[in-house]
Amino acid sequence: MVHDESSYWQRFDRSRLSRRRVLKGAGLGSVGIATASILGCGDDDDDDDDDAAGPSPTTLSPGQGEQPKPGGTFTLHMGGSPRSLDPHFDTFPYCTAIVNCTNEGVLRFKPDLSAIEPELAQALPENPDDLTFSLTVKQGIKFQDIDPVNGRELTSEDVKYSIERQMTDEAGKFQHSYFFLGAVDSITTPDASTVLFKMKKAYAPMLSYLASPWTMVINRETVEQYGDLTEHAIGTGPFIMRNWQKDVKFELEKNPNYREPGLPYVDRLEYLIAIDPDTTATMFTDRQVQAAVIGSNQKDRVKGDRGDANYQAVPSQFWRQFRMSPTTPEAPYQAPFDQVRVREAIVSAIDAQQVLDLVYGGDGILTNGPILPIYEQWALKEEVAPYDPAKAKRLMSEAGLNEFTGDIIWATSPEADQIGEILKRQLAEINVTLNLTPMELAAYYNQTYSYKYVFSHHVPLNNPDPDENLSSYFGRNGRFFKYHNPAVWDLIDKQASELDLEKRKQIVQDVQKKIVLDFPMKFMFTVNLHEFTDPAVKGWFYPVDLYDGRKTTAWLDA
Amino acid sequence: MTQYVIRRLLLAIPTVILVIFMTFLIVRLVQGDIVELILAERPYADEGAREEIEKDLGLDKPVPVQFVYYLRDVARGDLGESYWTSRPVTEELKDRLPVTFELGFYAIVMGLIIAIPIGILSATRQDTLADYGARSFAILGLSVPYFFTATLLIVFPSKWFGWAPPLTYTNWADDPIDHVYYFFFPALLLAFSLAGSVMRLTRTMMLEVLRQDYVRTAWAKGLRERSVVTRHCLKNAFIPVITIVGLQVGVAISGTIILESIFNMPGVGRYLVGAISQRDYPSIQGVVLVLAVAVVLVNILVDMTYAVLDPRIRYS
Repeated sequence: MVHDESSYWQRFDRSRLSRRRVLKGAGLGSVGIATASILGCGDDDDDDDDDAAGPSPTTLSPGQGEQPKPGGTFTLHMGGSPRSLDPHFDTFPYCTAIVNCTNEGVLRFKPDLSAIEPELAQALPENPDDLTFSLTVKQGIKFQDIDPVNGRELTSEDVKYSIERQMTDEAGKFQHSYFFLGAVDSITTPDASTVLFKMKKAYAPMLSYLASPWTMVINRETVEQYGDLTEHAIGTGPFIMRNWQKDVKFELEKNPNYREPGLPYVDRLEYLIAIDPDTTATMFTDRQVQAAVIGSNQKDRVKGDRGDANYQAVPSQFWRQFRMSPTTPEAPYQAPFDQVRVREAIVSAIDAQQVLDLVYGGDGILTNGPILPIYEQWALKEEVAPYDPAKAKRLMSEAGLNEFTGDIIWATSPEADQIGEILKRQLAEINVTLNLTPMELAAYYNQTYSYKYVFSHHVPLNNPDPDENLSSYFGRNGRFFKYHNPAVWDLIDKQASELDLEKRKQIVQDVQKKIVLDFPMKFMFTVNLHEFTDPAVKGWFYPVDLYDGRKTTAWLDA
Repeated sequence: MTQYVIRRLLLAIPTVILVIFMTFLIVRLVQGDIVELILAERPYADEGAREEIEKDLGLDKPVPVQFVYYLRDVARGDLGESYWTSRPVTEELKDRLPVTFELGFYAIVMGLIIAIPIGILSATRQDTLADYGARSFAILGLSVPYFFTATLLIVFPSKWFGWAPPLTYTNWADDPIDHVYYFFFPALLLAFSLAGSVMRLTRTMMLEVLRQDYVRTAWAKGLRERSVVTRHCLKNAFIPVITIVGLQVGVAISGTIILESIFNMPGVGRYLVGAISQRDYPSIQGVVLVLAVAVVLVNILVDMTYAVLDPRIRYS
């Protein structure tokens, strides 16, 4: 891996994560129970070894230092069927689970998200100036030897085509078009291996988006032959898709012409699709699959029945927010939310730890701001809006608000319904009455994206680049939540164009603090995922970003 | 008979159109629409995005116009394309329908195999221990939801005995024995649930028939019990039972929806659940239409069997 010593991403690479640092760094002093829960759920030596082993990844590394054995079939659980195998369209992890095996990107994140590294590129891109990224594709890489691409060589044109294909503002066509659409001015290919990106503006998220599991390099022939990529995943990846039996399974075979000799180690990948959590747990305990993410309610059964399994509880990329009414220039905060102290009172009255404890048995971690603690480099370090019921009461009194009643909406589920009940009790302490209005998911989306509600509790998704988490929720053009605050918008824009890593980190901290202290919502917690693999599975464990579906280095010790 | 069948088929057309209309209307009346769900995955979208997607999906036209277009397409055998995958709905259903129908068929057959002998036994041994046991069995089947017993079957044998039912679908062409073995457990659970009502009705009808004069005459002639029951009672007791079986086709198909999810079956039930949650109108409409047609046809078939069971019944 060649690094440009002066590059932003090289410095990004140096600041590696450890799971312990994630937990410490996120300012989790007040969440001992949750932290203990995470650490306690793992095998005993998992966290004890963190420091001794030096910088430790946030995922386990079974088989590290052992000689990989080739062959065998690695069977994994998949929690649903992809709608499409087009990585530029779909947003479900079931898509990338397949496409990250059949295709590759120019860059990729390491499994612990600590760094970006080249995949099809020879090295990380060079940026000779703020508006240029130059990337060189490795030579001699061939697409899979199947129709219609028939093993032809990958060129820079394929990279150009793959990025440009997404750069359309046609609504609903490519869900990830925003990665490059507003920022990339032109893409040129001076020769068969060089790709030159001319930017419209300095764009800090560029490499994160190039490394995204969704930014796969595809080929024009497949798109033209089949009209789309809904059912065809053909790339340069280590596995060739042989069979997709809808709602049942995927079967992939080793690509004999893969660019790295000896890889992948396993001969076959098989994904068995199961949507029911109890069924999934049984498939793992019954050894029908060798890797599965198990639900909170099933994890103890699986741990009991498969004590031999590698197990890790990892905070998910989804987190819970308690939102107050969105704001736009046309619809600013209405009374009483126009008083910041009322919003602060409400935020201060919510005990997120109690919600986490009561609903999930403390199985998760609290979040301080819009970026989750798993993204240690970016997460807000300090807890600036803690639970403080006395302060909440005082603020309500100062605001002259004796009582307030409002509807709270959410997408119904057993856990979400319990959360609604607990929030109602907590806010009753400051005479805020919540009318509980659980809604079916699609109906909830309709309501929440019309931005007409008083309160809601919501589960959005975090992504590796801070811009995705800030601008889509709090930025000037964000759609996930309407938040009218030009000062915050400016800061969000500033971090997106700041190519100096340390400066960007500071801006990201500042903007998060500004958002939290404006009290548009209570940032609550993220619950854990329970990841299990059979002890025979080596060289791979679930990556922090569950959307990353690569399995190239997995091998079976059986 | 032929005239009767043709008339019944013609009469089924308004029923099917009504089903199409109701489904078409209901999916659009339910809060939460496809466009919002598509937009919900986009962090940024301009003001015109909604209109653009509506136009792309044909939802910009008035609902009556959409309905007329849909009816026209259905008449041509075109159920439209999934809004999410752009795949033709007929293609999606082609592989999934056989799975659902197979499960429903096995469940009904197994349900009859369980229910009818027990119903007969219960009637012929009225108010004995066997009768009480059989009735309790029927009540259990009716009252315990099959998704609960399915979950028990998935969780506990694995925990206690290290055995789990097969959870990955096997094609008939790949391995017929595995295929049947795979269907056995979900079909049995559904059959158990369906058997309760059939068993109770069989018992009731048998009791009624057993008290008829001609049966008393048969006993008086010194016929053996087997002969009295099978030759003189059963056929006459069966007509209402067959009617219930016809109605159970709908119940069986709806039952497959949850069982398909639990047992990882690639049927239309599971597809329908996904389509509803994603507001994939053409898929929902397609599944409901096909299932409705199936239920209508089965019930016509059931009506036709009356004549076989009772020669006094004539179709005119």
